[in-house]
Amino acid sequence: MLTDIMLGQYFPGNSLLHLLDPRTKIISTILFISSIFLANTYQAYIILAAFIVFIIALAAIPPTMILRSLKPLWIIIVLTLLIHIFTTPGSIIYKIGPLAATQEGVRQGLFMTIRLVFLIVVSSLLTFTTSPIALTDGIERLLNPFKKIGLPAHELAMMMTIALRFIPTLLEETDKIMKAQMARGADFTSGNILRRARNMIPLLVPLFISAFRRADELATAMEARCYRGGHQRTRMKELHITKRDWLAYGVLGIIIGVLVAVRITLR
Amino acid sequence: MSIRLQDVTYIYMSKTPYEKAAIKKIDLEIKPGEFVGIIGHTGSGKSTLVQHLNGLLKPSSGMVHIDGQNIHEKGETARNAKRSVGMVFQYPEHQLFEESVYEDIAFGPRNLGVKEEEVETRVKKALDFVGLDFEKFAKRTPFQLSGGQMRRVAIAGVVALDPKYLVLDEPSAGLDPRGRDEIFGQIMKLHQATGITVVLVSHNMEDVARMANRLIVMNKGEILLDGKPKDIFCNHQAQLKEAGVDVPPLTLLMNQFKQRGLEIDSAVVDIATAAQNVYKAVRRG
Repeated sequence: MLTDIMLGQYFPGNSLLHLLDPRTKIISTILFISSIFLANTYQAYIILAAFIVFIIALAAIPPTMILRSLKPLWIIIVLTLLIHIFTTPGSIIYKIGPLAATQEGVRQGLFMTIRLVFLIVVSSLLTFTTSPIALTDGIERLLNPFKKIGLPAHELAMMMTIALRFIPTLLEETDKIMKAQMARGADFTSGNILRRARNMIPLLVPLFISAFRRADELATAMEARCYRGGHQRTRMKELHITKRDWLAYGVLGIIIGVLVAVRITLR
Repeated sequence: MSIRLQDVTYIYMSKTPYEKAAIKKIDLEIKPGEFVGIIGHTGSGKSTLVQHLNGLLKPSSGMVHIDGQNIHEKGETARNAKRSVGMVFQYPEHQLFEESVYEDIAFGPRNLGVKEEEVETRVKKALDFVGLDFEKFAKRTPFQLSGGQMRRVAIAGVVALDPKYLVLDEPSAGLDPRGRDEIFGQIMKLHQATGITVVLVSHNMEDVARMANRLIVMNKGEILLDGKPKDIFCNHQAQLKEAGVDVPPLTLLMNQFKQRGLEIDSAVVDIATAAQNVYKAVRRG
């Protein structure tokens, strides 16, 4: 049931991508996502697609997993496509009532859709190949310089870690309470919205109570072990930038260079 | 008339790297009036197994019939079949949500469409069964009760459904010995008074041995042993060890007597009979 949901989507593995420093992966993902917006020709999109296929293969993530990550957003993808097809002015190729599909619209819609798909795939590649803990570690280190201007980097990272850590626990709890109430004849699936919302009460009340209880217990447990925030805290696994991280930056640099060149030369 | 599991396999997180078969090819029939104890090590599949008994989990393969009705078919009869099985989860007090004890126990019967007068008698009966005074507790909020009392209210909430089969998953977890004895005493009382079929999942060998008239030992998602508690505890100790299950202390004691050369009938599971046997053996010797 609920516990079958892919969480944080981490897909354990030992590929080159898995082994990269999380900071490298976060920065590269941001850079690559921005470079997607450089593309405005078919050629550029082909280069992007080839590169994405290449990193998916490198990460050894099964294509079905990639497709699954697109599934929750397919409505947005289709909507983007339709809005662009019907709202871009240009030469009309098809008419449904007041709506007119244009050639430019199809082209524009296709490009936007592909961009969106690329965005989702690339960012889910980050979460597929990086464990949640490594991810928050990386974010904390990246935010460290901003501590000087008062950004609580460690606290933010700790909050993220705890939140991520408790998602599966709370899902399990939800699953259990749902089952328990279903065994007492509760119905979560039928009726109109108002009725369904009301039917959620037997699920939500126990869930909130247990969430608060857990938060309280966790706070006590952390204090009992003398947790006092990030000040002078050492870590078990230090992050290190190695050769392969520089290699990754190098490859990314080349791709971005090519994309820029394509944009300048092909108009 | 029984709960029948045929060739039931259940796989968690199917088609991901986390995929794991929790139970494998289980064949099991639970007959009316039985008191079945299910024991096994953590992760042996006990909880997964019992969640199949009322259709909370749908088997990845295999079939479940309750009183001859396939419970995973659509329709009213299948739903009613599922409802004839009452299920008490681990830490059932975590599912309490209503403002008063009365309302919480009445939640189940009302969902079943029971009339309001009948609801009241059911709540009274259920509270009586778990040993809580109706006048004193009905109006109180469940969240201010003690842990043991909360658990009893939660169990009452399931008993009020008037199930034909009652499944309890570790009903004594986290209770002190006295609370444990009370809960088990009440389950036994209900079983004897109404003849209700009970399936009890427990870690506590002694209680299972004492109360159940049939014992199922799970190991790695499979049924390792199935039979009379006496027979299992006395004759299959090697297999119990393999499954990571402790033999009840009483059986160990009787074995010690035997090893030391006392001629004694060691096939006992309750203290009273054991004492008698020791008495007999000592008088003889």
